[in-house]
Amino acid sequence: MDKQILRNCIKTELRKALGNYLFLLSLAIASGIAIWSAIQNISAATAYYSFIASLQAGSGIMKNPEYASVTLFNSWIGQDYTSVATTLFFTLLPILCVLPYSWSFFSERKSGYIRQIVSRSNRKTYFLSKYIATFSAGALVILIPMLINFMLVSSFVPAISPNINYDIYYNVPSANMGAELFYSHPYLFVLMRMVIAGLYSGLIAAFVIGLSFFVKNRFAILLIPFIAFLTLNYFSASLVDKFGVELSPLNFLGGTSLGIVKTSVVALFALGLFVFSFGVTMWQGVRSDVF
Amino acid sequence: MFFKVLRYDLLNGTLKSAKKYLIALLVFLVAAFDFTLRAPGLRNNLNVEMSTLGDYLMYIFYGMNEYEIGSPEPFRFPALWMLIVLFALYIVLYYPYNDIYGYGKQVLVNAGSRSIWWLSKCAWVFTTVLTYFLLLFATVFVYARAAGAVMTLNISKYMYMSFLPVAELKETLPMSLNIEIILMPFLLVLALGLLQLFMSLLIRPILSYSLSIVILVISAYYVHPFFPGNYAMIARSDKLIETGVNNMVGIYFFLGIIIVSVFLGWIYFYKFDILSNERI
Repeated sequence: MDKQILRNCIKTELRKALGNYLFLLSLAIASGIAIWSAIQNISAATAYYSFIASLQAGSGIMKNPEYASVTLFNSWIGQDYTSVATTLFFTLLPILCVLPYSWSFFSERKSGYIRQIVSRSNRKTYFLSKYIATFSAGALVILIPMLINFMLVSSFVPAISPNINYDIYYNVPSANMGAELFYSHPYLFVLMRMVIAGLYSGLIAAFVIGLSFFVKNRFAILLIPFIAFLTLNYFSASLVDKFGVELSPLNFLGGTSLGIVKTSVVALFALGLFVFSFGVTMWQGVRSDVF
Repeated sequence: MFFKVLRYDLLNGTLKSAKKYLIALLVFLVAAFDFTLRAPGLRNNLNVEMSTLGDYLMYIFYGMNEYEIGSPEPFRFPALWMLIVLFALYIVLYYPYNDIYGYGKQVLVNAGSRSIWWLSKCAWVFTTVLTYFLLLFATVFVYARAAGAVMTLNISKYMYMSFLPVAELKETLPMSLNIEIILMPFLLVLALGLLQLFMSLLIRPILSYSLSIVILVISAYYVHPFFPGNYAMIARSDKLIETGVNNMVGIYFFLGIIIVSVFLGWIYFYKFDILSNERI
């Protein structure tokens, strides 16, 4: 594989992925929801602190104002579990991350554009650069709004370190993935949440390229991940009482999990998505007849 | 001519996508099986021996209790209810849009009228949603019968006691909730399906589907007559809880959405450029 051609292909694909109107539209929608979530959480935190202040001013006997129960680390979109905007963000995640660029392989194959690229480079280069660009667009469309939300919330809600005595306000049980990190190094926990959400978004976006080899309808390929996640969410909700483990990515990517978030479950799903998306894309891509 | 176009739609939009109904059938079976597993534990509370067909349907269309904003409980939308409604909306999402950019253009020319094409698509949405719900009721009926349930739509008392918040329960509870179980979910999906059909012309199918998701999630979060999902959740009925929504208001609300969507879509479709490129 010629490295220069690969580099050019990746550059072109990234330009197409990050410059098209659907990427900007998805980013705008996701950012809008993230800002809405920030506004809801900032309002709730402000109301809480005003309430505590008024109690203190009135009686002067408020010895434990429970400041750590409302903090940046349970008010940002990655750990908030009470606002409707946060739920919307993670529910729409499988659609928002496929909208920017996952359709491109399907469209290019249908229009015949793929032949132009493959004849000037090779299939491996084409599919690898397509995979990288699709992954990047899917990941960025979720990561950027999360970052905006964190910056906004951190401008108004104090970053009080989470206190284990107030764990009922955090929804991070001790057996959860990263629980230790949450209490000892909360900023690292924030980073972990962002990385995992970005990784999943990228993998879901790339998963659609793999699906495009088997499904012949452009709307179906974009919505299959969402329907699959919704079904998984139902199974998770049914099984959580019995096994106590959270199986739904719609919940464990954010803070709304009811069961324990196991590292093995999160890793296994990510691995499955990667194996299918990368394996099928490269395997089928190199072998399928584009002419 | 209208019936010819509708027959074409039923053949291409419904029969040729029979796989989706098979998946739906599987979901209904899993939901019924899920209830069979849970029912003995729930029945034990009141020493009831058998569940009824109505209990099965109530479990599927229960939705969720009112979410107390500010409570330390995480907000999660009702998983089964959402799956049932959104899968139906997925089935009716993209066939009309695909059709207009495919063979449907020829049908449109042969029909000689945009009105016929549009009204046929509306009738197709109605027929598809009806088929989906008939399949659901038939599946649950057969499953419940095989599981030895009492074949009545009456709801057992243990269902109310197990699911509803005792503090908000009304003093007298109804024996049956036929309108809430049979009509309201159907009307919700029909209304949102037709709204999606209209919105697909305006903002494309994927975004119109996302709009349906937004409406449903917001409906699960807020108990308010303005959010249509409330009318299709048994947990939000004013027959059961003090703060619930009224089903007659819901029927008028859904009819309003249906009429406005069909009418606005009809007007918009007259100006719709069917020769432009298909977009996501």
